[in-house]
Parts: sequence; C-alpha cells; structure tokens
Amino acid sequence: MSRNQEGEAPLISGGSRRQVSLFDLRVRDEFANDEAKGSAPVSRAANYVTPGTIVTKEMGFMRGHGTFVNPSDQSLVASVVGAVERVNRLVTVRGIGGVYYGEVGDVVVGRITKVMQKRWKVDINGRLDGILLLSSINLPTGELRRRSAEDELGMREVLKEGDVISAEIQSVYNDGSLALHTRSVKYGKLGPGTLVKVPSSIIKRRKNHIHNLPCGVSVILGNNGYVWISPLPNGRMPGTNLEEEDADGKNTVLEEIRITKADRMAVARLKNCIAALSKSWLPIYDTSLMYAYEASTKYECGELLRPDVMQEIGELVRQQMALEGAGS
Amino acid sequence: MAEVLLSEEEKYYLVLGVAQDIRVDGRSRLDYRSGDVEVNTVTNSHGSVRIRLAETDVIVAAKVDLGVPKTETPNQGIIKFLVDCSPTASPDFEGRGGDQLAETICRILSSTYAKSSSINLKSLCIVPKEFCYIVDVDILVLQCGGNLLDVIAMGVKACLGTCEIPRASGTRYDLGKPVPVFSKDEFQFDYLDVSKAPVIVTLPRVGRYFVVDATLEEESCSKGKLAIGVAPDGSITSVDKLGKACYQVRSIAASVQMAAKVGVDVNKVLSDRINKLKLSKLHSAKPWPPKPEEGMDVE
Repeated sequence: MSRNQEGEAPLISGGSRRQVSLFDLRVRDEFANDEAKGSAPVSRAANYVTPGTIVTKEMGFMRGHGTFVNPSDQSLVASVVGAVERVNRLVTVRGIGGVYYGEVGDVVVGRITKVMQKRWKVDINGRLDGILLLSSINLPTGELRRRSAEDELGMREVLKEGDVISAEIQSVYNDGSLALHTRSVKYGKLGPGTLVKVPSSIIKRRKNHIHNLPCGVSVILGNNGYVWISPLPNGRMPGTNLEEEDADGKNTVLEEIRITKADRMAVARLKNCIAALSKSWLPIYDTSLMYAYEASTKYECGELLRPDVMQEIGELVRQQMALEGAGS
Repeated sequence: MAEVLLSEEEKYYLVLGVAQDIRVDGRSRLDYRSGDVEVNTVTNSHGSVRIRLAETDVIVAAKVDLGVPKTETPNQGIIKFLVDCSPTASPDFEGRGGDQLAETICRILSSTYAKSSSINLKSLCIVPKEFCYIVDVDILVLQCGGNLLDVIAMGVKACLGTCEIPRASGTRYDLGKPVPVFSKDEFQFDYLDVSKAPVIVTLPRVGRYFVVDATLEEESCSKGKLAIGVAPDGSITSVDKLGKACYQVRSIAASVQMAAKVGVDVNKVLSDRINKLKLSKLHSAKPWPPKPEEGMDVE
C-alpha cells in the first residue's frame, strides 16, 4: 500500500450496507438432518459405473480409457466413476469430475500461466496446459499479417500471466495437449468480471456457450468447467480483439469502465446460482441458469451462500427442468 | 499464504466491488461466509473439531497429557499449539512451503492464549510444581479457501471448549511425593472454561477498505492484513500484522474498532455452537465399557 493511499483513513462502517456482521456457523448434526429430509430420490442411469464395476464379461471388446482387464477372468472392469461409452468394439468409461478432455470446437475459458516463445501456456483445467500460438490470435490492431519478431517481443503486452481469455479449441496434439485459437471477435482477453470453477462434466454442450442474459450480465460457459461472469457484453475486454472493419484505434482504458451496483448484484447472484447448480450436480446451460436465477430472486444475494438455500434452489431448478422436460 | 493468480481486470472488478460494498459473491464488507462445525472427528483425542467455512477446512484435535509445570508458572497448566499445513491444502505447502505460515499461526495463537484472561491455566494444574495437564492442540489444514487464521482460531476455541479433561479425584502420597489419582470412569471429566477465550478477526485491506472473511482472491488483492484477537467482551487480546503493508495509527485504530464489533458477534455465535456441540457429544457417546456404579473408583 503506497503512502498517498494511506493518507486518508479508510472508511470502515460508513457506507456499509449493514452495520452488523452476518456470521452463520452450523453444527454438522442439524445439517445432516436437513439433507435427509430435503433431497429427492436420485434416479441413476444404468450406464453409470463406479471403479470395480464389471463393464462387460463378454469377449471381443477392446479396452479403452477408464477401464482395465481383470486378469483372472478377462472381464472388462471400470477404473473410474463415470458413464460407459461404446464405439463399435471399443469400450471406454468417461469420468465425471476430474480433468477436462478437450474436443475440437469447444469453447473454453482459460488463464495464461506462462509466456513462451511464440506461444502462451493456458491453464484450462486439463491434464496438460493448453497452448495458444502467437499465430492463432488476432492482433489487437486487427491487422492481418505474418507475425514478426517485434510481435514476439511484445507478446506480454497482448496477454500476460494471469490474464483470463476465452478461446476455442483448434486441435488436439498427439500427447493430448490442446491447441487454442482466438481468431474471432467472440474470443480473446476478458474484461472485468469473475471466474467460477465447476466440474467440467456438468457444463452442457450447446450450440452457443456465450450468453448475454436478460439480467444484464454476460456469461461464458467454458466447456472446461471455467465459467466467466461479467457485466460487459460478451464478457470481452473492449478494444483488445478487433476485426479489420471496426479497427478504429479506439483503446478502452480499464479505469474508465464503470460498473453499477445493480450489475454487480446481478453478477454476484449469478455466481452464487452457478455454485448452487454445481453443488446439486445439475447441468449448467442458459436455461438452467435462468431457472436458478429466477428461483434465487426471493433471497438476498448474500443469503445464497447458505447451504440450505443452495439446496433449495437446486431442488427448484430440478423440478422446473422435469416440468419442461429439459435436460435429464 | 497460498496465493492465486488474478488478471488486472479481475483485480479491478474485485477492488472496486469492495469499495461499492458489494463483494464478488454479493456479501457486504462485514459478512462472513457460512460454515459448519463437527465434533469428535478424531476419536483417539480428548477433543476434536472439524470446522469448515466455505472452502476452508481445518481439523483441530486436542490431546491431554500429564506433565510438569514450567518453573516460572508452577501453578499453571500448559497449552501447546502445532499447526500442520497439509500439501493437499495448497501446492504452496509442499515440502517446507507451509512451515513459515504454520509458525506464524502458532505464534499468534500462543500469544493470544498466553493472556491470563483468555483461559484459566490454573485450572489445568493438578499439584503445583509437580503435576499439571499439558494440552497439545494439533491443527491440520485440509483446505485453504481464504481466512485461514480466523477459522483456525474458531476451531481451537471450539476444540478446547469441547475437550474432555480427565478429572483428578484426589492425590495420594507415594514415597512422600503427591501423585494424582484418576477415576477409571471415562465419563468423569471436566470441560475447560472457554467463555473468555478469544477468536481472531483477520482484516485484509482491499483497496482502501478492510474486509471481514476474505476469500483467497481477495487476499491476493491485499498487501497485508491485521489479525486481531477479540475476547467475548470485546476486549482486544492481540494485534498482529501479516504481510508487507504499512498502516497509519488511525487506520489501525479504526480496524481494531471494527474487529471488536465483529469479534463479539462471532464469539456469541461460537459459544452457542460450543454448547450445542457438547450436547451432541453427550448424545452420540456410547458408554463402553459400561458405566460402573457410583463410588466404584479404583485407586
């Protein structure tokens, strides 16, 4: 903290919404009772297995990821929790939770962890870091040309460690690491906002993963389980990824971005709704998000952090989805 | 402390949110996240508590041992703290990474509990100069989701409050030396009086404002923090500065005032939960071996 900032005494209670602090600590016993009475019976799909489950005893199937062959009777046994998938004779178990397996075309949200020669390393919640090549981004000026040595030197001005980006998976390398690209106005560096991490398997694959919701908030549901919530349209930092036609040299300064209290409240509410959906292990996509948001409106934003409220919202969303026949 | 990487934009969003009194998760600056507390998690200890506050997860266990009082305080028992930052909590704690943090936490806890007003250490003495209880409080950090120190202090208070200290039924003299005699009935125990024990309120400064119960993200947006021990009556037991910040006297005074206010509320809730935990302990206790008749104490 620099001296001049220290000059003014910080405002402590003045301007605070509440004069008393909220502190809520539950005794685990009562909590367990709540869980017992509140939860609905969970129907389990037949093709879900746990480690040790015999997937098949028949011969002639090939051992894929997440399975192994029991040496005593040659049966195929699951080694992870997840859904059984079969492609012809290849049997795999795709784990739920755990790390993200990328697919070409997936929208992901990632954080730059390293600036390297001609490439950035990006944390995308996978087994290996994603790779964003200098040639797979749009230059901030919007020019279309070969990347020069100067561009390479100025890489940290475009994206530096800690920056959050949205990107699409361009290809999967042989070792399983993912190549990303941001060559579209939809993708690139993200502006002020917040990142929520959920298990990648509960993000529902949709045609569109970038939504500008009616509550004035935009949300990017990365297939890798990273969700970006921002009050700015498309969540993007303005002026960092311009197509040639709208490259008017306009450079938005971070300090000029103003965020209203209402927007902040909506972002916080959405963040807590996503946490609630993830806790109830419900699919996350635009519809379920709006159901959760609507169900949450009867509570104050800070109350949504309470486990009982989270559970209630999960339950309401589950009912609503059953009514509409969405998800399953 | 475990740090998280944040972009400039995220920091901007977070710090301005604190200034507008709407934090990233919708709390105001004075709000805590919700947590839960569980008793008897470590069955071979005299008292243990698992406390969770959002992502922060800590196990505190107390083991009571017989020992000799320190020569400078011949009529007092001893409380020792040991913190272990497990590498599962954060990759930063791997190897010797967590040692410094663990040491700092130990020091703060010891200095807060060393105050004669916080816990009556005399109640832990059995025979002055000869025998006293040594309470070893082991703290295991399972997950670090911000505000670690506060959670540990709450856990320690709850653990000491529910710790069952065997009751010495008297002393007998062996070769002219007094030796304490214990009842064989495991249900004869005393609770430590923690009604005056402090909790710690850590106040990191995000931008120009102090916040209560900071998340990891908020902690990495602040340079330093003040850890303030607050007793149930609102008196301050300790003030420690963590990190590389400098504070002016008046901002320290303001933060101490804020901590005192918050600390009283936290203490009130915690004392109530400690009583509940004691009750739930009684309910869950299974008498084994079966309770002997009254007055069957073997000496």
